Amino acid sequence: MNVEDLQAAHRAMLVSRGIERYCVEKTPHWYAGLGEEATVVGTFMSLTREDFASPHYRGSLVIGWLRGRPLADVLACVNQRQGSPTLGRLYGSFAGALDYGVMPYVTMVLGPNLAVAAGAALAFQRRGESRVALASMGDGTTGTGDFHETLNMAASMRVPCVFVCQNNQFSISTSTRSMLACETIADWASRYGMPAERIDGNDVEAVHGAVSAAVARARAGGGPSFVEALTYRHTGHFAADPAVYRSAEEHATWMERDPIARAEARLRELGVADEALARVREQVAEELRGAAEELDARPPLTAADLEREEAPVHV
Amino acid sequence: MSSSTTTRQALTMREAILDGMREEMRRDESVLLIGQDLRAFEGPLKSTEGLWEEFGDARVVETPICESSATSMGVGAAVVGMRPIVEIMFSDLMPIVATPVIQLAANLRFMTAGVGRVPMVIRTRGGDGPYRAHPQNYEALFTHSPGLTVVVPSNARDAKGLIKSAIRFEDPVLFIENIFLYNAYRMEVGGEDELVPLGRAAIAREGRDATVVTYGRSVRTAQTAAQQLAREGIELEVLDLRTVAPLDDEAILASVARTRRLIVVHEAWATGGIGAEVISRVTRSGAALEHPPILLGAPDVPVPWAEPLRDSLLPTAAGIAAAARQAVGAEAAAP
Repeated sequence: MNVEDLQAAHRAMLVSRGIERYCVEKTPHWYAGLGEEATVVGTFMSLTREDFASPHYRGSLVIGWLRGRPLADVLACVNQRQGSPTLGRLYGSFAGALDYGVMPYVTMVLGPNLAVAAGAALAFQRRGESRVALASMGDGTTGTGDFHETLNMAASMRVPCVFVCQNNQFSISTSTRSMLACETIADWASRYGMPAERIDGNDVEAVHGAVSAAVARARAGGGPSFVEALTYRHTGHFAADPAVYRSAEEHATWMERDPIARAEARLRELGVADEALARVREQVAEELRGAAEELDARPPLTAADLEREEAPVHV
Repeated sequence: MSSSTTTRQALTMREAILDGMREEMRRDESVLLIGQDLRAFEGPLKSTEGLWEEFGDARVVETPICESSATSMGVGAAVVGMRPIVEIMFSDLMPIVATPVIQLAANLRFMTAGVGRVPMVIRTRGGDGPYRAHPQNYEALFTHSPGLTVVVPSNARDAKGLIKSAIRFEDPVLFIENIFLYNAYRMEVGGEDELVPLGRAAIAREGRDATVVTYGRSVRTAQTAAQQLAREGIELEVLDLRTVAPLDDEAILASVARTRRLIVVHEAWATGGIGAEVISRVTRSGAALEHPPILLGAPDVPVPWAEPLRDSLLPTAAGIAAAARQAVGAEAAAP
């Protein structure tokens, strides 16, 4: 990443953290993406606006913002007011942003979002387009039949699809290591005949580098690839989950590996001044405050909104 | 290349559906076939015969045996502008795809307030038949799901017009082809422009004394019963639902208003089934009935394998005739 791209990634991670904190404030049941910002931002910055995104739900709201959805509308996903992208019909982290090419997590069941991406990729391939589809997943999703079925199909059809595992090391309370019969998830994926690597998911440059290479390969007709980004969930499964199933030492170790602090350290190395970093933090905080205020002035959703229907969007 | 559009041959239901699919695939190159064994094998029961030969790998996408993710794949293709027909070999496999059909394809439009649409057909074969495998009738699982249109044609002409409408529809359609009817009868079918509307029932036989609401194979069974009853002076009206979700309330209520007697017949289980829904709607409408509604459906057991066992569970013409005599108060007239 050049310094401008890293600055953009840093800013996007701050926005992501702000969005997630806002959501946690609104509901203690929020499946918070705190701590996983480098994986989510690095992954979805690697796509163009024309590419199709079928993300995992955790930390997904920033993806709409990356593609141009106004911040107030992003926050509306959780506070049930007018402008909420699905008119409040899908819980915020599942809402996607279909008008921005981001597939909602409609099933609320793990797995189908992977095959949905492969299906979009199949359409791009059959129509001879250069668009790419990308699906992300948590480590928990890799235990499902759909994970194995979809990787097999995508590889055998060589569709332009990229798979990214946002491995935060826990499926709800269960440690990934204890429940998956593989060395690494990337190793598993490689057995389906696609390039696969595990990278440091708290290093936004590493994520962006690996996913960009996979996207370029898919776009060039090289078929699917798999990236496993190893990261860590700062909260429990949902914000109020006390996460009694993991040790304080482990948690403290990973808090020190915070992806935003890490990007800031790297930016300092590249000559960006502390004051400049502080200014970005203030600007992002101000934007979030402004969006939240704008949103609070909007009327709430009502039962009448059940009757509304928007025009279909060409995705 | 000759097609039925000009010559109007008599086709089986299987041939008629293929005829409709071929016309739609020629007309719209976004129509894509996705499923297992569609190429050299030409689909289960030759359900895709000739399509790979004509349209090739670009349009006929063969998948491994993974119905669930293949169906989700169809949804992904549909969301970005294709019109996939996902082939699920037999209805016994439908529970495997409950998640992508019910929770994904059928939900997307409402859950995105109309922004996303899934113009996709899920095509399968069900019901008892000469093939004697995969006979379970799961349609009610899917008629219960909001957002889904479920079609079960009873004859070749309707089947062709309905598959064409299903392919052109903007929302997902589950299209169930009855195995008994598949190759058994021939009928002249409509041309390229004959569409049969989704959601509309048809009167298969007019009659004044009682209405049989039914679909699929049981339409024929009811027609046979009606012929017997006509000799006794009882005139049965047979209403072929064609689309079992959403139900054509208007046609059902209009027929019952004329005959004032209701009998619902289907191969599928009576409990929680389409017949129970029809009876509920008619009863709640306040329709004045001369006799309590009668429901003929399968008992609460899976469809068994051996012929004498499974045949005993099917609705019969004699059973429908007996129900009709009971409804009109003519038991004494029974032969």
